[in-house]
Amino acid sequence: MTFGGLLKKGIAALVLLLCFAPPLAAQIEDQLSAYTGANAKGYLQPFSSAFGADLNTGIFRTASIPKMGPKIRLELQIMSVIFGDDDRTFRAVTERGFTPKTYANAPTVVGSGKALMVEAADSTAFFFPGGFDLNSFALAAPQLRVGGVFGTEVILRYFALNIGGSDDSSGTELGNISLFGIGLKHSISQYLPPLFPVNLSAGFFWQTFSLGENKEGDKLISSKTLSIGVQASKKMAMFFEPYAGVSYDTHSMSVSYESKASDTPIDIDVDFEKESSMHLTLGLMLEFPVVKGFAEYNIAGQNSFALGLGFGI
Amino acid sequence: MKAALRKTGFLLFLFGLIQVAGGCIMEDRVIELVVNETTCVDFLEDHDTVLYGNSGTVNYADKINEILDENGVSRDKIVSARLVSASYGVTELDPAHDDWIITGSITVEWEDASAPGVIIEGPATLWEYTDVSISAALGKKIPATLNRAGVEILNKALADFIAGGVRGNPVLTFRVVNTGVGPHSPNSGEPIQFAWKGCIVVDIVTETDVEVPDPF
Repeated sequence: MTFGGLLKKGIAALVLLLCFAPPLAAQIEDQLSAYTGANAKGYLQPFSSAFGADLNTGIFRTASIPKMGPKIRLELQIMSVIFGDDDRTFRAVTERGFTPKTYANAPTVVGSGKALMVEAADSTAFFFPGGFDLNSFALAAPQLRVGGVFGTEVILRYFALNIGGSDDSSGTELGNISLFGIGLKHSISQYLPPLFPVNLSAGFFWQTFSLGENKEGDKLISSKTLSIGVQASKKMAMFFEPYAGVSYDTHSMSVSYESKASDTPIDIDVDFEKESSMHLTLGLMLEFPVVKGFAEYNIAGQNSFALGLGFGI
Repeated sequence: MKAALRKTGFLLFLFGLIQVAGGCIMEDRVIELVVNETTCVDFLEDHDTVLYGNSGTVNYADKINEILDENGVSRDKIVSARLVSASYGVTELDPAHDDWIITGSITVEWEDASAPGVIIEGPATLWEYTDVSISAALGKKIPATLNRAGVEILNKALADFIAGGVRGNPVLTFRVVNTGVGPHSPNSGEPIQFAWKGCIVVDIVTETDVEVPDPF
C-alpha cells in the first residue's frame, strides 16, 4: 500500500468512528427505554465517564510554542478508554411494579449483551436489558492548532454531521453528532532562562459535544468538559519529543430519552453530576517536517489513551 | 540514511495507527433488548347480585406482533416473555351512590385460538381483591398480589407463542369472579354500577444484531 493509500485509510477510519457513534446512540435509547431515571443513570455511568475521559484527552501535547512564528497544524486523532470489569455491571433495582423490590448486578451499557432476569416466588420475572459488550469507547476528533503569537497558540476542535435517516430496528432518528472545543496554550518557557531543561506551557480547553436525537427531536446525549493544565516536553533526538502534563478536568453529561417503563411513555432527563479529576498525561511526539505523529497515555478518573497525526508546520 | 530512518519510523507508526483504527472499528454484537407491554382489560359492572362475573379477552399474539413490528424484529428473535406485575383501579363510578366494598378474584384461562371455546389451561386465580373500597380505588393503580397458578398460565401461553404457537395463540380470558359486596347487597333498585380495569405488565426480551464501534 502506498503512503497516500495508508493516509486515506487512516482518515477514513477516523471519519467512520465519528459517523458510527449516532447509530450506537439510537440503539442506546432503545435499551434505555426499559428504565426510568435511577437505573438509567447506573446503566450509562461508564459511558459518561468514558465521554469525559475521551474528550479531555489529546489536547495539549508538547509544550514547545514559538514565541513569534507561524504554527498551523491540522490534527486527526483517536481518543479511547478501555473498560475494566468494574464498568460492566451496576447495582440496579427492579421497576414496573415488580414485587418484591429486588436489587441485582445488571449489565451497564458496556456490559454483557445478555439481559438479566430476576424471578419472584409467584413466577413473575423482571428483565434488566443487556449492554453492548464494549471493550473500549473511542471518539475521533479533528483539531486545529494555530500559533504562535507571543508564545500562545489557539486549539480548536470542530466536527458536525447530520446522519439523518433512521435506525432500522426502532425508527429512531439517528440525528447529529456535534463537537466544538476551543482553548489556549501559552508558553511559560519564554519567561524562563534559556538553559531551563524542559519546555513548559499552561493552557485550558473547553468543549461541548452532543450525540444522537431522541424521539422528541432533542439531543440524546449532551456533554461539556473543561481541562486546565500545565505541560512539559523536551526534544530528545532529531524527531522525538516526549511530553508530560498535569491537568484538572471537569465533565458533565445529560441524557434525554423516552422511557416506556410505565403505561404511558414519559420523557426522562438524566443529569450526571459534574465529575472532576486530576489528570496525568505521558506521551511521545514524533516531529517530522510536515507530518507529526503522537501517542499518549492518560491517568485520570478513567484512564485513556490517544493516537493521532498532525499535518502542518 | 537519516531520511530513510525517518520515513521508516513514520510508516511504522502510521501502520500501527491504521491497524488499530481502520481494521476493526466495527464489531458485531447480539444484544438483548427489553420491551414491556402494559395491557388493560376494562370491566363495566352493572349487577343486582353479590355473586357476579364479567370477562375480557386479550389476544397476546396480536399484542406481541405489534411490538415486534414496532421494533423491527421477528418472532424467532424473542428470547423470553414473562409477566412482571399487575394492577387494578376503578375508572368510573356513580358519585351519587354511597361506597361499595367488594371482594373477589380475577382468574385467567388460556383458550385455543384455533378452536374457540376449547380451554387449553385454566381457569386459575391471577389475583384476589379483598374488601376493596370502590370510591377509594377511583383513579388509583393498586398493585395486585399475584397468584402463582395464574401467573404460570400466562407465562406458559407466552412461551408457547415464542416456541411457534404449538398449542395455539396466547388468547387469554380474564374473568371477574366477585364473591362479596358490602356494606349491603345490591338489588334491582340499587344495583352496583362502576367501571374498573385490570392491567398486566409483560416484559418481552428480544435479540438484536447490532454493529458497535469498538476499535480496541
